[in-house]
Amino acid sequence: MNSQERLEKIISLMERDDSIDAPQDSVRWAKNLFAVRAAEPSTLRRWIAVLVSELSPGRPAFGERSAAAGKARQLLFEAGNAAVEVEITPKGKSFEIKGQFLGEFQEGAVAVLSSDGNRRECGLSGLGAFTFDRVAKGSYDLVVRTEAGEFAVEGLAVG
Amino acid sequence: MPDQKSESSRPLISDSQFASEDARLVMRCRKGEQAAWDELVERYQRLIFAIPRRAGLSEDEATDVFQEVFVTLVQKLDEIEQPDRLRSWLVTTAKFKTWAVVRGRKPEAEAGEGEEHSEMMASIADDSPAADEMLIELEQQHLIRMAVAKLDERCRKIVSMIYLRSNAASYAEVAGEIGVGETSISPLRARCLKKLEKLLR
Repeated sequence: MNSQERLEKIISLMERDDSIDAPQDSVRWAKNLFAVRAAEPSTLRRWIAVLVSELSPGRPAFGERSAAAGKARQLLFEAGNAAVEVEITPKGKSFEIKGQFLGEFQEGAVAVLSSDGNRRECGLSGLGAFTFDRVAKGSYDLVVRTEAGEFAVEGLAVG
Repeated sequence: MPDQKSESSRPLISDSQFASEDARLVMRCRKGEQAAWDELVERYQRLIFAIPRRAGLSEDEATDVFQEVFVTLVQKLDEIEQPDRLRSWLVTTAKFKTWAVVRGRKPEAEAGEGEEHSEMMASIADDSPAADEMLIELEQQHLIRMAVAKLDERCRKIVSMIYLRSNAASYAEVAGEIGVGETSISPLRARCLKKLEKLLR
């Protein structure tokens, strides 16, 4: 079949294409399924991170070398062979959660899950950094997923 | 001189590019990325809905099949052994669930669950409403829509308005939409079709 014949067949297929989009509410429903999956126990290995350090606002940041004494509340969690640094900073009426996953990974993602079931997520940068802005006051589970498994910070109090 | 053998043996549509994209989406979903799942749903919603509709099911029945397919997918995401064959997996699952509705009973096995499932699928008669020829055509149309989506905006509009609408737009309408003279549409259309054909090689 030469290019012209292929093109004629492609045109014919397009002209016969009478398919329509699925109902929008069904599409939304399908997208929401993923949150259910995320809330289910994972088959990945899961570590529950333990709080090992917390610095309140006004205290020097991690390490004595830091002169910064910003508004951020800074927490360090350890889980397995990895750690997660988290900074919670008030931004107007909401908060910003910034952090860094300190462990080996090729690719990873972070999710914050509120106690009422809302979920937000983003990918880890090459250095393991992540940021969530406009986070409302509340209690959250923060879960880092990598090839090795899940690192979960449970009951992270924001605000 | 063109290679006649390779030209004639080339499949109508190559899906290697789209298959790689599928595999990457599945891997991202496995890592918990909602955005990847959203993209996957958007990518396949029309194809999955079209299978039961083309088989003659009502909109409500087709919606049930659609939902069951995505429930199965979300449950099996970590078990799909060949993520680059996701489209085939979805089509097979939709076909199976469509036939479960047609036969008026629940499916006894899920897609990809070994011999029992394969035998069930093989038992579907060739002259069934969801026969393989129909599915192949739906899959080809799906791949063409994905390729159209990859065209630049002007080509996408031209091809969509002329070929992918139930009422094909006139050259005058297309010209008005993209802001060129009507006489420009024919050569533009030809160039856009050429680009589309290349994307599908």
